[in-house]
Amino acid sequence: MKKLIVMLSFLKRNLLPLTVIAVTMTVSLFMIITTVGEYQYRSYARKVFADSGLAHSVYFCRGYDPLREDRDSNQWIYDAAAAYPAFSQTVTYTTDVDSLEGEIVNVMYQSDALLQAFRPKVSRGRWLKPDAEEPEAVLGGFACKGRRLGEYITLEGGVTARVVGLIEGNALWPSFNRSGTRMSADDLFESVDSCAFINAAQTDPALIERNRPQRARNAIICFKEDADAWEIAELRAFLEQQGLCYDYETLLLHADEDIADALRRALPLPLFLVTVMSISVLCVGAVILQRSMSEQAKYYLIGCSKREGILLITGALFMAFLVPILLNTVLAMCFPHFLRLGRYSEPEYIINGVTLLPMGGYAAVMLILLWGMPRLFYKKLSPIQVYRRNLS
Amino acid sequence: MIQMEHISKIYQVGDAPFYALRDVSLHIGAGEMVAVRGRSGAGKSTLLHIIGGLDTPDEGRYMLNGLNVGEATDAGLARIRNEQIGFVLQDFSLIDHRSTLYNVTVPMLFGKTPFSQMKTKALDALEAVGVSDQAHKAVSDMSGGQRQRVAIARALVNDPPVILADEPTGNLDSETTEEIMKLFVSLHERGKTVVIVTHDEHVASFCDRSITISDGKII
Ligand SMILES: Nc1ncnc2c1ncn2[C@@H]1O[C@H](COP(=O)(O)OP(=O)(O)OP(=O)(O)O)[C@@H](O)[C@H]1O
Ligand SMILES: [Mg+2]
Repeated sequence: MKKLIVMLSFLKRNLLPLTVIAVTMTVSLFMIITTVGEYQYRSYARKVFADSGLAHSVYFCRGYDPLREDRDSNQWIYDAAAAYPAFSQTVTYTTDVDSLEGEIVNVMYQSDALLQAFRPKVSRGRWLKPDAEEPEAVLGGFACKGRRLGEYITLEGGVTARVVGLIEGNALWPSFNRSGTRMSADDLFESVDSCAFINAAQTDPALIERNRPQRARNAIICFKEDADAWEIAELRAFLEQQGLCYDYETLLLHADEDIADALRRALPLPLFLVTVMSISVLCVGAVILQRSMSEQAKYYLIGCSKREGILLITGALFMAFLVPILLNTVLAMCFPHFLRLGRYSEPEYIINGVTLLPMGGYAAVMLILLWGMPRLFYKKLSPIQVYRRNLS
Repeated sequence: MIQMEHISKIYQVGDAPFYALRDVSLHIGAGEMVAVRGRSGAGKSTLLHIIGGLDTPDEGRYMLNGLNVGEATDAGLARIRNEQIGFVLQDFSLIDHRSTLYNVTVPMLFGKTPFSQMKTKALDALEAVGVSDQAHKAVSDMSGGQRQRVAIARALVNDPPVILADEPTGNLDSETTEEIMKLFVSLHERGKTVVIVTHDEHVASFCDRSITISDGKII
């Protein structure tokens, strides 16, 4: 408490340079949060896909022909594939656009296989489970607003489900509609800002089919665990006659390449800025130190130890750090939507508690460096030598 | 009170060792008022800094009031400076941008005085040196004589047994010197041990005895 008074005196004395440090650190920490947030966003789909346990499968896709295509035009291929000994199951879904109390909501009816494979992070409650006793829903994005866990929702289409989980912010939405010559795990997902995931197995099929909902054009085709290499090759050969196949490893590999590529483009600017700003903070710290040393020598004269003197300086710098740390923490925890442009724009960041760890680490490293400076200084010159120098 | 045996302070200048103090043995009893004299560069300030625990000797043994200063840690020395010693220096060494009251309070911020007593004690100390009416003035707005009084008040506020002064009147005119010296004499009369480094014959004449240093040695 007593030392706080001395520290405040020191703060007051160095208000301007400390403000410079606080502002610079605010920007620095913000850059770190957004960069980490962007990395989390870019790598989130990959992570969900990697955790899916779909190693024993291929993503099968076909080119799109609007003239021949209807929503069940791939069904015969899946039926034919089912005849092969390596075939285990098709992972797919049905989507519909429905409305919930007047608000448009994208609805996805997930097969047990799908909801077991992809488990997005749920902010509250839990994800869907296969052996549920009734239709259950996990709401995402704007559909969460005003919803409570455990309540029942009824879509305009007639489906009633119990809310078991909420995904605040945009939800990751499996999307097996894309096809191309280079697919990555990221291509199997989209970000949706208002949605409901419902387990298909527990829901009345007649209600699901009432609006003639969309089928996923493509699908993930799983192989039996005990299928041998020859049997798998046989099924793949059949599928590749009809379209393209991407296995789990290839999809992850492509995702890794895409993430690395995105980082190569996204990193240089923040890295450069953070480096420049870190150096500025250290330089301003050195200036503050130099300015304070003669005052420190006076405190030394009347009973401040070297260690206390160093702690006083570092303490004041820590206070200057507190503002940017708090500001950025509040931003990250309370306003993750701050970085999003508007109602329907896609977010490019995932900001959460995890994002704060690198920020805290960086702030700690900076503080340790700033704490090392007066220590180094006192190694070279004792306070009484500082005092003698200032005298002459 | 102050007991030094074979104290040396050695600075490395280039390759050769330089003895700022060489084999100094010194005894100053409690309540004495002593002048330390000598030519410029003789080692007077160095001696005073070692007495006050600002600097540590390289050789010898130094006891202050029963405490082994030579073996004290950083924190131990800080405590000795805070509780046992009051410094008054030629350039006042006050924190210029703060008020008189703050300057006199600082030693208590590093000591054990409870919060509630700090202001009264600081004002008492200012009263004792005759500048209590200037308590809220910034030090930078005061005259040299007033500043030295504030410095003395700061040295007194923790009631240390030893007052060390390094050319306390070096920057003051003769009239103010007279007043400041009278303050030191009154401290001496109150039982403090006072050591004053000075060039000035007149200043030395206020003291009980004189020690002369030449080239780091007492003669
Ligand atoms: N850090 C240092 N490195 C080398 N020599 C030093 C150092 N500090 C002091 N000295 C030397 O020690 C000697 C004693 O210095 P000191 O300040 O004690 O002299 P002084 O008697 O107080 O002189 P003055 O009357 O001018 O104040 C001087 O010759 C000085 O050059
Ligand atoms: Mg001197």
